[in-house]
Amino acid sequence: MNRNVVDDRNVKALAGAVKACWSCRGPVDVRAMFCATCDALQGPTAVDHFERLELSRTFDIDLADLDRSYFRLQRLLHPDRFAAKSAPERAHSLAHSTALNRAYEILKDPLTCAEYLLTCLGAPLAGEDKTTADPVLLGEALERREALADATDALAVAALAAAAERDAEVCRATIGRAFTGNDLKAARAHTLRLRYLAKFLDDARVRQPRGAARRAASAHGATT
Amino acid sequence: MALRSVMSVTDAAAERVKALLAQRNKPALGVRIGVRTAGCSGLSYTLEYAEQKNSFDEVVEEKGVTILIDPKATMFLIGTQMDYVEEKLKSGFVFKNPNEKGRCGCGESFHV
Amino acid sequence: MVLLDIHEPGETPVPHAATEAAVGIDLGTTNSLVAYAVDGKPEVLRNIHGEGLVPSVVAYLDDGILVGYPAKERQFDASDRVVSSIKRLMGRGIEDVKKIAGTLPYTIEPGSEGMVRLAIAGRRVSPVEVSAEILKTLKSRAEKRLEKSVARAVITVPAYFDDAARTATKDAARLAGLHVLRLVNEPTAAALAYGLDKGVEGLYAIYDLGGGTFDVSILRLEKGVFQVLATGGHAALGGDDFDHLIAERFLAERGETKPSLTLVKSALNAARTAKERLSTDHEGRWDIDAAGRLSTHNFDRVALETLIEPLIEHTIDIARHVIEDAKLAANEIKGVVLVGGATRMPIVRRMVAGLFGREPLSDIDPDEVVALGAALQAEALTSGSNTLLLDVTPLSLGLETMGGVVERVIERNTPIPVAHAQEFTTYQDGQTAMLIHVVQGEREMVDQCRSLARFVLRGIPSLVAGAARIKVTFALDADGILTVSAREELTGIEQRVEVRPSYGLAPEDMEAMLRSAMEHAREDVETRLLTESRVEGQRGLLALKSALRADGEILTPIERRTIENAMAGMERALSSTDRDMIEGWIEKLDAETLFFAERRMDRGMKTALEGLAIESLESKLQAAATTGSADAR
Repeated sequence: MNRNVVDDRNVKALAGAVKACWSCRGPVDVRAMFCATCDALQGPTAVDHFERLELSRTFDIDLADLDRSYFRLQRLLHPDRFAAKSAPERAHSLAHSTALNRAYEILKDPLTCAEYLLTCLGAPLAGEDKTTADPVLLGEALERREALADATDALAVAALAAAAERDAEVCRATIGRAFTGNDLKAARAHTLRLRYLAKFLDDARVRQPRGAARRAASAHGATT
Repeated sequence: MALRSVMSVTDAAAERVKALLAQRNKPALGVRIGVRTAGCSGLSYTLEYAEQKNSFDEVVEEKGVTILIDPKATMFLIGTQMDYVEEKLKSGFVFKNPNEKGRCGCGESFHV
Repeated sequence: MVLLDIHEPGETPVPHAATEAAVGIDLGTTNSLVAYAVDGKPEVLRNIHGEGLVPSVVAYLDDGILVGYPAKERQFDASDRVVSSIKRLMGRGIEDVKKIAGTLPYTIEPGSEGMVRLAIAGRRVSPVEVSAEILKTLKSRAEKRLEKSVARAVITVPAYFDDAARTATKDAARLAGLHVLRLVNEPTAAALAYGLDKGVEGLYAIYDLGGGTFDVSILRLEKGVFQVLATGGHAALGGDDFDHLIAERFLAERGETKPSLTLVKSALNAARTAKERLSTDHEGRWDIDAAGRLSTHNFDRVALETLIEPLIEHTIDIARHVIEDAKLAANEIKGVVLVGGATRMPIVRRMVAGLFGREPLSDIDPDEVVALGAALQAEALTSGSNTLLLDVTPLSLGLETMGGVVERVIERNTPIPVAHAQEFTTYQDGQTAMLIHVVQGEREMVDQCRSLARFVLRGIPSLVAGAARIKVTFALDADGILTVSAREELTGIEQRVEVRPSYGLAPEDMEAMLRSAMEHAREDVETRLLTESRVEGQRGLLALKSALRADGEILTPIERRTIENAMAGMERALSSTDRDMIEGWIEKLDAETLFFAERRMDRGMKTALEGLAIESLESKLQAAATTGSADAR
């Protein structure tokens, strides 16, 4: 009996490879979005955000690719497409669309994308209370905060924000190289730094009167 | 034997039928009117291109168009007039039917 | 009157399957409209006088209820029975309304659970009921014009409407016998109308200043995708507020300190006329003839603009903030579209142009553009379309934590639908219950945000403080309506509570209102249930047909005949109007095809198993060839 290849492990994997379509009750690939037989929308599967958006698992996502993929899938799956369909299909569509939005939000922002990729690769950043482990990073963060606290006018705040934005840009490039070189340790360290910079930029934004950043930014060159 | 026609066709309806037949890719003999049990008042008309005459079809030839009437529909159509109406948001054929006793709210099906 | 088309043989569609009309409704503070789209061409449905606008005014008279212009005409001789601007009270609790109570020309009373009720001519009506009257009028106008039954609609709401106001709008539609296909944000609907009609592409801002609400949205329009990047606004700022400022001035000029309700309405009426006229004229005189005295008021555009400039400046501030939220600069925006009657005022155009550095667009009538967009979306939802509309939530959602601080779970401008979960824990040893207080708003402290719902999660296992893990999930659907659920995860003891945010309208109240509106509602409900059964029956039939095409050969001729007989029964049932019969056949078809489904699954599993066997062999070979390759996991 040539059953030796179909061992227990395979049977288990198989249970997760084919399921019954809720609509025509025939077999359907668990990864399929639509039933190949009756075309009914199936529920979303538990895949990571990259796979959900049909992208390869990388930090250097081309934003145009991300948008294209996101729009294409939402066009297929958004609740607006199923408004006149049966209740189970409406529910599946809601679940798909929600999952796509979540994936898009996370992958769109380089910081959340890096954090998520680290988690996928088994090297997640620790919670917020453990982020001060690196003394060099801590020193830099404190220095920036003091400078922000000392800044007396909107122009000074805007200058600090601009410097932090430049550093963040460099930091994102470094993270990209670290992921490409499979150096998870470096990727973690720089992602942590990016998290600090992002927080600092948020705080700097709050410190400025609304629109001041813009006025300050457009003011260099013009006399005020 | 000169039987009075089962139904009549207005000029507008005849013109529209001719225009539609001319537009159609496949040749057609005319149009066939039938009824079926559907809709919220129970019965509704069907209006389809006809490629050939079925043996029991009633034939009405008027104003250059051929109308075939399914035998099941004959009793509902006796004395009706087929008209074509064009309005701002919609257009289509209508049967003015003296036999009709009620229509559903949207007018899409009727009972006698 | 039904109008028939000629179809290919055998292809005449079944009536009611898709031909019942779905309309778009702009339910405005001052005016409402209904529109209908065919083949991507939307049109406002007008009355016999050619009027598209239905004033959002309802008169409760002894001999019946009037809506629209007839109601508006009675606001002087029956001023205590006429309700206008009801939209400002949608989803509001009595506490919210106290602030604006003085500015509303009718008496407000607390209802049950902090709900607002209006006292009108001895009856007490809720804002939901008043709005339902307006919707009923729009529905019947559409039915008359289209000569079709209209049971489904897309209804627009201000983008900045909170959850309670959205839920209230949906409830009003239910009372009016309308199934809401989708609530669409007003600026998004306007963008849809512009994008599809004028073919605009790129980054656009929509500045929507209506009678009672202000919204601004930034959208990216690209190849049929309408992606909202950020939205913001003010739920109680609009043309009505300008009227009040002008009326106050007129009343002061008359030397009135305690004006009667009738006088206030007359002053407001004069104010509204003055405001509208001063969009084209530079000055004018207006009379107020009420309370036994005639007064004449000179007023000019400069005075008007001085009066309202602070309010417009506030909208410009909000717009600036929204541009920042979209991470853009004003000069990156390719165009700005004006929506709402109040944008006809020159000062609004001037200040908007100043912010964006370009002249705003108003090619499509700013009073009609929202309804036209809603009609397009109604057509898209019922007939299919290639357009994709991606909207966001305007307000952050969060929970109350220790010390009245808000912990945000969903940030504003997150694309919807969305679901986020956050974990919380207990703060006392042995704590077995937890109060979950859901708030909406941007402020840090709970009392500065809008309270949406409170519920108690019970049955938390008794543990030391901080050990329990309570996962609270917030889910916003495509209408922007919230569902919150919570469960304790750690011990495996699950507690799950689903809440619908309450804005004070108890489910029993809703039931009672629905029952009182039963006359026509029963018909609507029946139609709806029948439609649902038909959709389900048709789905089952189509699925079975596909299955027969794919796997029919595994059946013996006798089995096949049995199934085909059942299908024929279902076809017959579907062409009837007998819901019980359809439901019966759904069950029968299910039962009689169970063996077929099982056999298909068996075969599918076998095929997959064979495929897997080969795959597994290959992967083993591969693994042998590449032993030692790094796996990051």
